Amino acid sequence: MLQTVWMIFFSLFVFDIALKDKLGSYVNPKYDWLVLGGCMALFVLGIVILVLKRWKEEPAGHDHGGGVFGPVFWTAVIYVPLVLGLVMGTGALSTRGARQSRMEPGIAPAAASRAGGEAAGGETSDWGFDDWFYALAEDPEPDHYQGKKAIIEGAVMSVPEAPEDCFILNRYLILCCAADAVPVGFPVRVKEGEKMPADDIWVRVSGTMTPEEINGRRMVVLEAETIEEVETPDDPYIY
Amino acid sequence: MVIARDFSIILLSILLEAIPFLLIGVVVSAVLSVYVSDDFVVKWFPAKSLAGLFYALVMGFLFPVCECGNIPVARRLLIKGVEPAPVVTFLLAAPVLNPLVIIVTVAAFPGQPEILILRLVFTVMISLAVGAILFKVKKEDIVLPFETITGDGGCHGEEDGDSVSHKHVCVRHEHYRGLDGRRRFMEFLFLIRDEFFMMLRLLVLGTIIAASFRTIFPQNLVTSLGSGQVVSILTMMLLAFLVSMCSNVDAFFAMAFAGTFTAGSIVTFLVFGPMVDIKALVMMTSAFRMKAIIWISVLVALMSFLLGLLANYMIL
Repeated sequence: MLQTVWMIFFSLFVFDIALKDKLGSYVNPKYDWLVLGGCMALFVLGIVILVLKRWKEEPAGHDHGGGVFGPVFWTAVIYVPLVLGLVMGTGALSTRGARQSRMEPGIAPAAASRAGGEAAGGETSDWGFDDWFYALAEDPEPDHYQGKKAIIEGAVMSVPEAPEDCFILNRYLILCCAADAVPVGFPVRVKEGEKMPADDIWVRVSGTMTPEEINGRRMVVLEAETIEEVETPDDPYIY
Repeated sequence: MVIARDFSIILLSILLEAIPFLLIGVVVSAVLSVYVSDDFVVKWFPAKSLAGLFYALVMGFLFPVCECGNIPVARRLLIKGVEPAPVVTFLLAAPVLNPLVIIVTVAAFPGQPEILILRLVFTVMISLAVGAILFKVKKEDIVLPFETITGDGGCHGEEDGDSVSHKHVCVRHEHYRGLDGRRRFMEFLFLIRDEFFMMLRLLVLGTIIAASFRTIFPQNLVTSLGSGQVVSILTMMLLAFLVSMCSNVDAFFAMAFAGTFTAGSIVTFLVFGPMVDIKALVMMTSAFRMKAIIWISVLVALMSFLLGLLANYMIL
């Protein structure tokens, strides 16, 4: 009974996430149809089985055993994700994992083949994080971005290797779902005298791109003019 | 709090991607169990020739169920008198060489066709090699006595109450043959539910392990474990053995390690897991001698490891 109820609860939980437009926190939007289709099937199956159990006798011989751990253990196991999801709510992956593994933010190799953004040139102030990401993947020469205006949103990530007045404006690139997330980001230089924002806060940075060499690597640095805190977006990753 | 949130996001993201495929696999398996006889696999299987090895590979595509559904077919092949060598090739190859597993691997590793190609090629190589080696071994040293295989008509490996038992695999087409349409459809629905939860609990347990690796374990440790050419492969083989995840969705588990573990170790997981894990070994005891199971496992493990190393050098 608890298993059949799980089918219905889990599908309703996923429908709720989708209605709040937060599915992008978990999976690449190109797979939304698959996730929702699967949950719809699960929901219908759960309802049909509940009705059948209510009106008809369940066929004999169906296994409800749980082996050495017992059915209670396994029922508890399948409810773990549901309970955790309800308690923790939706959101974006923090930068903690990237900071701990010292993953160096930069252009991920996978991006090279997907690069479809405009290369440097023209008006850039309306570019989003992903436009900058794909443009830099296509044309990584920092000098080509000298003086370009940028307004970009991302999560703050401190990196010990970066200069003291810099943080990384981070997002994750996800190809399938949040489990394959790879951090990518731009170094941001905070204005002299300004306070460094805390890790994992989402900010909108307005400023100017400047080529610079950091730790022997040439890259573009976003010289911040303003940094304002913003809500975590519904689609916090690059897909 | 941050760790718990990240853990929850990764856990749910894998489940959201995997559940539709798990459901498709279970429905296909239930259709085959309730409505389709596996006679066509057994009937045309060449009993005593090397051609059986290649026929075994093709059967994977025609009988697309994961490792749990293949054991009863293997038992029937042995009862029919087919040599153990091609039966073992079928058992090792079929869980990977099927359309659903191919689709899932592509979905989990978009833009990385080398993962799928190496998974298929290595699976074919290992299953053919083990089959070819077993041609040199006496039949009675590999399979249990005939009366043991035919005795209960089911899977005695599942009677011991093992945690990963798959009672449902014993209940196949013959059981449903005499039922009327409505009763058969009810059996079909309840079989889908039972199989789904049997697989789901292992999927959730495996996903909890994967999410722990990404969040709870210190990431610098995981990165150093995953970047070692040899250690990464051994770690993924151990995980594959313990997690015992269904081959229909194991690519989503592996995906969580793709950023930190070597490509060769990911491929090894995807090749080794469907062939040798706790669940498969328990089920194999219903038809094969323990000594043979151990030797087959060792052979598969050695070949998977070496091919994983090769993959590391090929992809890097």
